[in-house]
Amino acid sequence: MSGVCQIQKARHRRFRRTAALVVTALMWAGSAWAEHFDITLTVEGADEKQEAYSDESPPVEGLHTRPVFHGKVSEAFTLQFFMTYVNPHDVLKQGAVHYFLAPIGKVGQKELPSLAQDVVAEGRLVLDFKTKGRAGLKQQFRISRPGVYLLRVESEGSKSDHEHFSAIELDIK
Amino acid sequence: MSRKPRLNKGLDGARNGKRPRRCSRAAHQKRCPLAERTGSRIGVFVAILLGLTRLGRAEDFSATLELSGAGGTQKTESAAGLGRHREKARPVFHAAVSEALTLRWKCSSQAAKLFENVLVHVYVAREEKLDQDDPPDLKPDRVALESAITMDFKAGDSAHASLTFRVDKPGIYLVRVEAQGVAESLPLEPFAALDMEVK
Repeated sequence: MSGVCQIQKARHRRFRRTAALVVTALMWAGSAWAEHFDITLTVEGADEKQEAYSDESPPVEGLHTRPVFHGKVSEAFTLQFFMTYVNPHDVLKQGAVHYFLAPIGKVGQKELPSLAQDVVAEGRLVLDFKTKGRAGLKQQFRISRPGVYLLRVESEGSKSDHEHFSAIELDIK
Repeated sequence: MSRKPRLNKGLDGARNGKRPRRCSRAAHQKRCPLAERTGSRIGVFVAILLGLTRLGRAEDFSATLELSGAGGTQKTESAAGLGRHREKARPVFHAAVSEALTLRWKCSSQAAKLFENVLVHVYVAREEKLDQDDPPDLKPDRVALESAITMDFKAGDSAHASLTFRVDKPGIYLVRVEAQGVAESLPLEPFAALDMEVK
């Protein structure tokens, strides 16, 4: 009788250890892939408006297909984004919000463009984010050459294994 | 057993040729005609000092703004006494239509106090004339660039940004960075601003 009890006790012990391990693993995975930023990115012209939301990198092109905005050369456009820090666990010290609008080779291009030249707009805001801390920007712009352009706003320095971004492609004729 | 009457240990002791001992505060106030006035003066002084400490100084929170383009760079920073009632005219930056411009700003706190939920607001907006006193209309069609962040600032904290933009209409523009939500503690809302003339 006492031998059976010993086996049961050992089984219980093993079960408890496994459960603790699984819970720890799940918590680690949860914190590693926690959402840090809510992003809303908008481009608006005279006839069209496109909106994109938060995506994750890696992969660099994200998990979602980018929306495509259609416009004309020299048309007046407005870009706007809001980034809200939604991580309830940490304050992000000196986190950065980087955005750019630059030409790319084709619609759906996976690689990010070089920002060395022909950049239509670019900016970086560096601040401490607490939970529900926000950064936003609204900017008017025109594009003088036809082509495909990538508008992207992304987090930098999240101190995590991934960053958040939102992107829209502009097809300018 | 009768209890000994308690002697006045201060002034009475001195009169008896003994070494004077410190009298109690209550006893001193009773005897000294200056005590009440001195106390009230010190009280007022301490109150003013505390008030000033609480109010903070304009230098406790600073804002700087820098605008650069093909023609050069213009920099300005917040200073005490600059509010809406300015003593000096704003510096003027000259630019051309569609010129590539870069706006850099920085806000930082040196105060021991924590400024919570400060809204740093930055904009480039059309105004009617150089050195206009009234704030410009921030309607979407009159604003070339506008940005805002929210942040808590404690001593040594700062936020900064670098933003490129172009202006496609000639005119006068106000370029301004302002920190909203710290004015309760400081004499004035910290800001830095300059005018931009686009031809």
